[in-house]
Amino acid sequence: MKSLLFVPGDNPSMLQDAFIFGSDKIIIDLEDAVTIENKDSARILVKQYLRICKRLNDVIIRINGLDTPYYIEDMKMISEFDIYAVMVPKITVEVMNEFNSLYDYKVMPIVESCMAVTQIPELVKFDNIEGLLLGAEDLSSDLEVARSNDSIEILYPRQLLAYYCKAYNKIAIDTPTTNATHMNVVEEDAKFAKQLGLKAKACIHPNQVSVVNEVFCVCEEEIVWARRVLAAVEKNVGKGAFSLDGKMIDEPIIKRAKRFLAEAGERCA
Amino acid sequence: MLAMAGSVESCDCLVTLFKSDDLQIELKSDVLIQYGDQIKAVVLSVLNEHKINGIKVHIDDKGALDYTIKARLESALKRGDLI
Repeated sequence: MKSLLFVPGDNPSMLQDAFIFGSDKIIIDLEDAVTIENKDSARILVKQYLRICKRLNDVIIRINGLDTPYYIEDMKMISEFDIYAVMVPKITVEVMNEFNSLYDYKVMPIVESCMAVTQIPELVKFDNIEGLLLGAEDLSSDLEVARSNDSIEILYPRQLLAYYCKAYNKIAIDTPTTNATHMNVVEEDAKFAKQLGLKAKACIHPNQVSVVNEVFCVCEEEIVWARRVLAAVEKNVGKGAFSLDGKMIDEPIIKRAKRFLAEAGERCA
Repeated sequence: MLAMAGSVESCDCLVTLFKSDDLQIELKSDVLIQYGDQIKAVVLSVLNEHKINGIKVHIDDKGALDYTIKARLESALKRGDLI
């Protein structure tokens, strides 16, 4: 999984086109993207859409918060479908326990409060959590700081998410880049997130999807390098470490090369 | 007017319900000639499903697909306490 595209739940035009932009998953939003007056009609629209949707296993639905009256009807609607996961907003360990006491679904929560950041080490231990998405806008508001161009204010939660998700085999998903006009900004932001160890990125505009997919794919250069490493391994049987292009190749490097090729086959073919 | 649902945005439709003793469907659409019969058939299928035969349905269609027409009509019927 590289990209996840947010789609407003009350917009037929965007719903019916949601999968044509190439995102691995879509996140149908019943929460922030839908006004209170239209919670009912959005839920019904999403239900009718899901009845004709051919990729239910790639659908995530962001329900309304458990502190609102709307999530009950959201979950009733969802119960008709075998979707990939439910996105639970305003997550904390307490909210997660409450959700699990009521429902049995895979969950993709949004880490969007300072409390949630401090609870990442606990959240990754829930078996039904597939991955964690960072929600930088709400998180920055909670921290009482403005978003900056270099996103320095979310460096710590990004790193925390990357390390804990990796350690507990969850998917670390980066916050969407709010700039939907300048794709170079999206590209730089995605590259930085990838370098920090995040594995996918959410998108809030269809234009962002191809950029994010390209960044989070194993690139051609990496594939060529990995093939050369594995070819060199065959020529150096019995050696614990050897040299390629003047650089030492040992077990961790060989593992990385194998991972690149596995990911290329699995995600980028 | 009993209830409304939807919008006049592209690919959507605005459904408005009025009291009526019999069944009336009023359709305004840029694709009336091509898809008018299909849209009316979708409306009728939803009304039949809920056994409603006394209502006036006005639809301002902006290119909505069947799933959207079904959803907007169902929402309007719920808002009007008709289902």
